[in-house]
Amino acid sequence: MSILLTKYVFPPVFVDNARKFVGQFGVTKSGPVDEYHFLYNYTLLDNPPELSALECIGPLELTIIEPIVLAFTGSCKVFINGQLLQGAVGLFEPGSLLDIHPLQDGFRFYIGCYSGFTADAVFHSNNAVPREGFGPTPQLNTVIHPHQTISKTDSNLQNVLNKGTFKPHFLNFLLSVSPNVTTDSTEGYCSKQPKGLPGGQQDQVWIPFIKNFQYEVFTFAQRYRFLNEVFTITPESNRMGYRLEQHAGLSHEIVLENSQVTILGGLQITPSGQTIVLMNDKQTVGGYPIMGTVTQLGRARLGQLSAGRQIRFVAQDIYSAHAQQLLLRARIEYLCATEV
Amino acid sequence: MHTISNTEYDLVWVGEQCWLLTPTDKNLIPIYAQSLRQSDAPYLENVTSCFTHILLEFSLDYCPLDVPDYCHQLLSQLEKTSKNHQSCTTHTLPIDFSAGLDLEELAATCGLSTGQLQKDILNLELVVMVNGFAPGFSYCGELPKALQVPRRATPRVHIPAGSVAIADKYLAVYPQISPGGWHIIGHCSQRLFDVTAKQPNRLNLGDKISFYEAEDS
Repeated sequence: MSILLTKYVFPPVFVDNARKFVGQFGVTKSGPVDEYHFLYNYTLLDNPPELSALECIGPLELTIIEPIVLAFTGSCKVFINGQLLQGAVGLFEPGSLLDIHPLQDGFRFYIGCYSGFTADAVFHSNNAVPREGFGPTPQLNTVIHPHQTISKTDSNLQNVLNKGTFKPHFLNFLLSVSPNVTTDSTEGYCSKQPKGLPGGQQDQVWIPFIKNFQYEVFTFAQRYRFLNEVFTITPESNRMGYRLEQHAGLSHEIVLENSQVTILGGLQITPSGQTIVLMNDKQTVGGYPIMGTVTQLGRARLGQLSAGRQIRFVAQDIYSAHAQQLLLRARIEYLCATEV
Repeated sequence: MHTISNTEYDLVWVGEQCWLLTPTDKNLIPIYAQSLRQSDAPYLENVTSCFTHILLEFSLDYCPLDVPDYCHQLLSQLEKTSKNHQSCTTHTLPIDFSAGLDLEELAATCGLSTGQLQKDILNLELVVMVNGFAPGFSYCGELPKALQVPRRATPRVHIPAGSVAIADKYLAVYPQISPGGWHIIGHCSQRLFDVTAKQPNRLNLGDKISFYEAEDS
């Protein structure tokens, strides 16, 4: 039971729930950019998070060599021999051709298989970071194998198929759920939309972030601009960082005495006023001050946005961000546990 | 912002799974980081330290309420035994000055002859202060003031693996081919990072390094 990767525009990467205890080596943790759709994927398959899945962007084609159970989550629609696949999970027979396309509303998706894909592990993880030069990378026309051969009498497998057949690929609520934002002045919960958000601009996606220990090193004017600017994602964005179009109003002369540890989701502002959101394959040390930390929901949203899309940042306090994370996880786990 | 401060450190909750520990005494950073790594802190997944902070990263299942108490217990106990805790190694590494592309220019900037600069480098004993930026890249410092120079105005696109370079207060050996703006003073033939090894980095925080001139230099 295996699959053959026959076409892709961008090479997919193996991801699992990230490397552990590697920071002391200067090695990045890596991991899935859209952790919610990855969680959705492995929960649908009843896999533990340590098992690898493929993180993909752009169209992709697979040929099934031996029977396999696959889950497709995130921004994708899947055609099996030209017919649209209705659910997120399916049992695929040899010879089937799977044609996978991203949706208009997003562009990143995950392909997982029951029992997980096998791949060479580095630091006990299947994550590969091309910049570091180590870790498994699936090549075109490579056969990818799962850990175990499926048995059609496996009762758990039947359960997985029953529950996954009617599930959506994309979790729309991740884009529509409103972060509990905080006002700039009170740090209290605020149910209102942030002031200054232009009405009717549905294509601007809110990215929640937590103000952190360096927020105050920026001037009031810089912070105000940051909270009220519309940012455009540039084509230079990747798994290392989302680079946003430069805003002269954010330029600064802040010099850090030393390089500092980088935080996943860290909002680096360069002296020229470019904002870079540090993503999973970031370097472990950086030299620019950070305005805050984009939350897990914010990173999942960013991970679904391609170059040219517009975003705005909204401040959220750490308590509500953490509570929201727990609620979203519970919602996904509940969705996976039900049969419809 | 959620901050816990005491006389020893600040602890700030900076991301849903991330806490930043800032010890008052920066010399304790390698000791704190190592102790946290070796501890059985529940759900702790990664500890990354730098010149001023230690980043603690937890798995999704952790309870944020436990972190301040856990850090307090661990680090206050450590205080009493910190002197015995640190086990650092001294590494003596070969340096081939003939590969020092910037050696002459650097000597001129520092107001030294090339020979004197080489002698000064061979007399250095530096401490591994940070491992980071790239796999196996170690910031070793601090350099004496006379050798502290800013980075090159134009970074090189291609720095060979093993290049020994200096910039600002630090010296580093490039473990892999990489772009970089540091001044290259020589080449070290010893491999300092091996991804297949149990301990991939040869240089660990708190270790000391010095150089001897390679025979074929």
